[in-house]
Amino acid sequence: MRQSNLVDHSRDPCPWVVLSDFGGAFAMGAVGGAIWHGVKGFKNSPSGERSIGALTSIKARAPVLGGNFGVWGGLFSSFDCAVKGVRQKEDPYNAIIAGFFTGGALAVRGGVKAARNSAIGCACLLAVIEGVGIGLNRVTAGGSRPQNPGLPSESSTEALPA
Amino acid sequence: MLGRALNRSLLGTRPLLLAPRIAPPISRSPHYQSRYQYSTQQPPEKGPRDSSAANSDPVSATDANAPPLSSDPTRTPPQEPSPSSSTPDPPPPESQLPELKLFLKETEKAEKASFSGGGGGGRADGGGPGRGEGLPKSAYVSSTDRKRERLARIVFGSFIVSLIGGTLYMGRELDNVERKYYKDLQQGWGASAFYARLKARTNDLLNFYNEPPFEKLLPDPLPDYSRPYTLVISLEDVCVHSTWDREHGWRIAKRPGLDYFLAYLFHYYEIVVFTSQHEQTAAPIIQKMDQYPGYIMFPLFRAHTRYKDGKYIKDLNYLNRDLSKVIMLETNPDAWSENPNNTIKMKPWDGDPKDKELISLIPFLEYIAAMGISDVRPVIEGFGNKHVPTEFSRREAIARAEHMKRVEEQRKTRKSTAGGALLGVLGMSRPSANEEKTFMDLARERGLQAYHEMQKHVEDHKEEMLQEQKKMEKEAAEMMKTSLSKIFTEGLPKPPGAQ
Repeated sequence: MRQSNLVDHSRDPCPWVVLSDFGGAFAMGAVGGAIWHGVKGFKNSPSGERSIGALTSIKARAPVLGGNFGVWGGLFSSFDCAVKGVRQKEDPYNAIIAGFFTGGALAVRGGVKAARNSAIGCACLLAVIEGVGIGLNRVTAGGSRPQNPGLPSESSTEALPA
Repeated sequence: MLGRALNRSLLGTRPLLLAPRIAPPISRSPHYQSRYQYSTQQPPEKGPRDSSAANSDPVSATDANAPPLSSDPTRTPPQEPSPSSSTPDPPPPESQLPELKLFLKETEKAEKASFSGGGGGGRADGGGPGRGEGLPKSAYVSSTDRKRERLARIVFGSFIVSLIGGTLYMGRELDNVERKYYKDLQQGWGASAFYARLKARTNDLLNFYNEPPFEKLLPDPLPDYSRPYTLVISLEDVCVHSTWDREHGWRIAKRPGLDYFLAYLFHYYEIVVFTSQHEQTAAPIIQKMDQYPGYIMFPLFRAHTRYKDGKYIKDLNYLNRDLSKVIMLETNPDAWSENPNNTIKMKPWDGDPKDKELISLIPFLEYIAAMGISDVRPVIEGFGNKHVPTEFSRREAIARAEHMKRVEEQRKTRKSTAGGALLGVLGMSRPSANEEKTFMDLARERGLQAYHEMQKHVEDHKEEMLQEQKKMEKEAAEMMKTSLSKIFTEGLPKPPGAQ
């Protein structure tokens, strides 16, 4: 298992991560959808029926949004694992390629053109996300510089009682 | 079929344009208020049009364009006169519309052509069946689609423009400052010179993200922390091994002998853990692995590696230590690729609890430090691809045999001399235990003694150390808190190494 050298311990290894990603994305979509459609249902209901309107809207729409998120997350994770398996590499291109296939697969019912556009758009989106991640990592790495320990610094000598 | 109906109803509206002119204004109609207070029907101006369309076009009247008034007879007063029936000028029948006839014929022709000849091809491009030849293609694109296409074109265009502009900018001529930095690049707008400048600038831009964040990964060595050698150990599969299973998730095993290894070599080496894992993954593991008193001087993480061609290279040239005094323990060929002669190449530990590799490495590492080897690289290179502990113990055995031979010889010569005989008489003929020991044996004794003293010290001062550690953690947390509020009042803090 050479792969274990670089794995991220906050995530499960490959075949299982699809399940947990699907569930996580569903939960995210359902919670977010509950907030979104709750507000929307509340706003669009006549006064006096606002709370029941919000509840109806949540019940009707939040699981659907959760499902949409879940399908996206599960598909993305499956493609990500497949790409990792084929390329045997761990780099940002995995996510970009997986995003390309996910976008394409989700839009394939709209025809070749729609699938192509969606795939390119999705890949671009993931490229931006990965790029921002790399940039952020670089910025935070600049702050975590190893320091010599134990030396009395100016602040600690100031704090000593006179 | 649907298309034809659509065409007809489209055309059917044409003569009806006259109808509203004759019909009374809707807002003034006496039924307007009463009808639309309760009903959710279409606005009334549809009424006359649709019903008259039904008159003119019986085909469409049967499906979609049923008059709205008849759909809800209870709410509309039955005595209400239909505005369309009162229209004095009914639209002319189909036979009087030559245009319409022509159009229908053409539509039929087009439909036939698309069904027989092109098959589904005519429909695949989104036009739908029954596309008329009389109208331009653009008439069938909805305004939403048109807007979307326009936006897409703008985005794509600006992307292309910025790509070209960016390329030109990256390949621009060198300015005065850059000319000093890129000495071998040429000016001018020739293709090769332009490409060379473009490549150099792009590489520099990317290198910002690929190179380690500092020129010196470690701070300068402390003068009173006098360990001349630095031991860089990898984390995963050298110190620990991670496994995953469905019941337990991730579990991390500590390698047998790791505590002893760290505590023992602490007297000889400045120990640095260098891992290609992310800080958030590895830092807690290191913290747990080396709780107190902290044998590991510095941890380094993925952010401190050099990224090249999809590989994370642990480049010791950035370590800010004399490379002739640095030893790395590593399992991954990618990681050591920059410093193979500094690296003791290990097999990855697979989690076997009977493993003795770390312990068996101690004699060699101790030898290096105790002998004060001036350059470790030729020594490590001398082992080639052999297993270092095995090879070292073989060499040590040879050296010991030679040493014993020498001791024997000395003993013989001593016995033969008069002094030796005298000593023998005094009961000192037996060679002292020290004499049989090699230099390394003595060093090991000292090392073990230091180790035991250290352990005793740790055992005695365990409580104090834990207290101190907790206090330091608390202080660090306090500093984090104050710096967060400081960010808003005083701006971003300077990075620690910036002074």
